[in-house]
Amino acid sequence: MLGTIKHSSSRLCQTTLRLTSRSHSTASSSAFSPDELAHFNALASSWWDANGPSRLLHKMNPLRTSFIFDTIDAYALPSKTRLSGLKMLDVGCGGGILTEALARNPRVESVTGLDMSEQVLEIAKKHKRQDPKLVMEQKLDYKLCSLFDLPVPEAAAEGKDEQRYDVVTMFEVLEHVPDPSALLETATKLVRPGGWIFASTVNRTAAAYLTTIFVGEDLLRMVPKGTHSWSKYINEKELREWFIEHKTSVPGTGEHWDVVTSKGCIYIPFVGWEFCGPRDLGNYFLAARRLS
Amino acid sequence: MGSTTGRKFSDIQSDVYDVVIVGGGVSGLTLAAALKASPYTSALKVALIEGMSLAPATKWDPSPDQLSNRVSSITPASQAFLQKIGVWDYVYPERVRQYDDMRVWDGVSGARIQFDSFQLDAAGAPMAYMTENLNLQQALLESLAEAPGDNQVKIFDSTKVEQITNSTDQLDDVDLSSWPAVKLSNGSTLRARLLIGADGVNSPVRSYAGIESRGWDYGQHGLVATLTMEWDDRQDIAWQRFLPTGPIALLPMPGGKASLVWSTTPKLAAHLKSLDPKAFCTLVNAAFRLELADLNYLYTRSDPEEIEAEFEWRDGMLPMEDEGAKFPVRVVEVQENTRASFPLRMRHCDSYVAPRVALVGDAAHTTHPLAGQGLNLGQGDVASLMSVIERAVVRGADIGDEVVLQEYWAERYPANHVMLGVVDKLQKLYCTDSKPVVALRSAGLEVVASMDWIKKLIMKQATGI
Ligand SMILES: Cc1cc2nc3c(=O)[nH]c(=O)nc-3n(C[C@H](O)[C@H](O)[C@H](O)COP(=O)(O)OP(=O)(O)OC[C@H]3O[C@@H](n4cnc5c(N)ncnc54)[C@H](O)[C@@H]3O)c2cc1C
Repeated sequence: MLGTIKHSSSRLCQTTLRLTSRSHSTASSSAFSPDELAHFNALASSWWDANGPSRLLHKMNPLRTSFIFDTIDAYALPSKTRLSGLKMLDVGCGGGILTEALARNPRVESVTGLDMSEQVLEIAKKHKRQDPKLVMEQKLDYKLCSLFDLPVPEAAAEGKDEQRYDVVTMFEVLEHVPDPSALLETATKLVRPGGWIFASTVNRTAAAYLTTIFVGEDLLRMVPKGTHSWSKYINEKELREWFIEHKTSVPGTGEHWDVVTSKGCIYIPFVGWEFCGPRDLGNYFLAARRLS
Repeated sequence: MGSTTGRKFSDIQSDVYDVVIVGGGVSGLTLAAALKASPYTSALKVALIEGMSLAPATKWDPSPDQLSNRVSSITPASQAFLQKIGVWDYVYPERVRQYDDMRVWDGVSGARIQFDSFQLDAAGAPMAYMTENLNLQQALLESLAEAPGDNQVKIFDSTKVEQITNSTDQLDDVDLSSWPAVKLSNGSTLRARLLIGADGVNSPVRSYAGIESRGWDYGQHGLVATLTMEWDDRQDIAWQRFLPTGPIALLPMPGGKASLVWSTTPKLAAHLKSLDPKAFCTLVNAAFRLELADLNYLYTRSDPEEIEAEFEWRDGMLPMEDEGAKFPVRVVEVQENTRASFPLRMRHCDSYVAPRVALVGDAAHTTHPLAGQGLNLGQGDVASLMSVIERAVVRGADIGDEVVLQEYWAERYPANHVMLGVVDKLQKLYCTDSKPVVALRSAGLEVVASMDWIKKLIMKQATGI
């Protein structure tokens, strides 16, 4: 295990270094590693089986939606933040568990779900047809592409805000991509001032290894084997610092970001997911807000 | 998706509902009223189906000296919920009687226990509200009629559910194959995002969902009747005596009336139902007052005059002291056509939920009436399911999602399980005259009677506070 830790911490340094040099065009083809893609393709058919391999995701959904809307309400900036009529982008939407819930929310005007797995996205589209409300209201749209494929409005251009989103969500995504910081960088460009990035991932700690991989995958088999790879986990502190280093003030743009909150969460058998425990131990959610 | 069928969702939309409730008993109607009362769920499209006519409830014009024989005790928790959803305001208050004192004793040993609401740190607060089920049903229907026109619950009464399957609609734009399709006796078929089984102990919704219901029959019938007392006892007391054949309970009603629930053998229940009204009243008095041997002798008589004479002779030998504290006022009359009996059973479902299905009330569990909890457990189910549905709507979840509904089951199953278990144990404990069991249970009752804190605990359970 020690070896793994060493290996991965050096990998992390590379990741951090890569942040500044990586350009989007080179990243576009590799937002998702091929083995990750294969893993999720294989899961596609059982995505919506609430008692199947994705059960923990289903159970996490209430926590995700309440985190998003409670944070928006608690930290709204009177002049900038929209409270309803929200335009949202769900990156790595998978079978649409979160995406559908966002689209059904009366405060949401539109949601676009992105995923790179064709099979998984087919499942999402098929499942959407099971809810006439989603079909009729036409608030929900799925796209088979990576975040890097979306047109990025020019940074400084005024009046481009309407092409941007109020909220970009990246739940359980950062730990599955080879270059998380490039993904984050692109996400920030798609958020309008006053808007949000909500992300969740897992701390790279021994405790997280134990709960998510050893217990979750190996011992209890609650999560399919190969879902997680520990070395790709990202510490809360690293994510928080990424925003401070790169986004507290972007030269020449006036762009400014603020990590408003982050919360640790754990799965308690028979109870479900709850916000509790330290945010630097296992799973955590983080909310960052674009100020200007 | 295959080839097109030319049929679209809009072709069937009028028969598609967010919530379809099967059963217009108290549980089903309460859920409907609660859905319409909540700002989160009032916009949901709701249908309710009842096999029988609801006219007796909607057109109820009760006369002050007639009482329906289906009466329930409503716990303060249930009453508070009905108040919260705006239904209690429609209940005829003059047809509600509160009681704040309960006298329970062992027919074999005579051991007694008294509960009163002073033990609840709620001096003067009622322990329960007695009222006719019809009074609740009419109030529920009245409150449903108050909802704005385009937002009303669509009620199909005198309409039976004939079949429930998964929808087989072939539509180009929407896939309803996971939605229950409820075929009605009026020829239409309703599709439900969420199907509620509030359809009682033989729930067709439960069969559709393939949910297993376990339990047993008590081999007893609950005989109910509306009685007139010799005078209106201003003490508001509920009386219950445990006989080896089952408990007999007398619950105070307005205007010097009382409601009887006499759980006994089916044979005795049939005998009591067919007995001359005067003799029946005498037997009720005897069942509260006489020694068991005397009572058993009276059961074998059917000549009204003989029963009367035998009772007076035996009753005359009882000591007079403390009469009013030990026994209810005598019964003098039974209202015509109010004697009816129901088989008593204990049932509990393994689960209350399945994809797009939830069970509430007697569809999920049935209990012995000795603790007056059946209807109240159903009210607890509805309150819990309501908060789960409200939360789901706020979060944008699909209210038919099994993961969502499981929160309801997780909350209610343990609570109901405890209550059903306690009632079942009590019933088993008291349905015997085996000497050691009687000695133990009497000692138990006497210990409980002398320990305020245990009583407090029992009452908190039973009143739902
Ligand atoms: C003798 C006795 C005394 C009781 N005393 C008390 C008491 O003091 N306190 C208390 O809390 N509880 C008491 N109870 C229990 C209480 O009456 C029940 O628990 C309660 O009425 C159950 O209500 P429900 O709405 O869940 O079911 P039900 O009242 O059984 O309603 C089910 C409804 O579904 C309808 N239905 C069924 N199948 C179909 C179909 N296929 N199509 C259309 N409609 C259908 C039926 O017509 C019925 O109206 C007592 C019960 C008995 C037997």
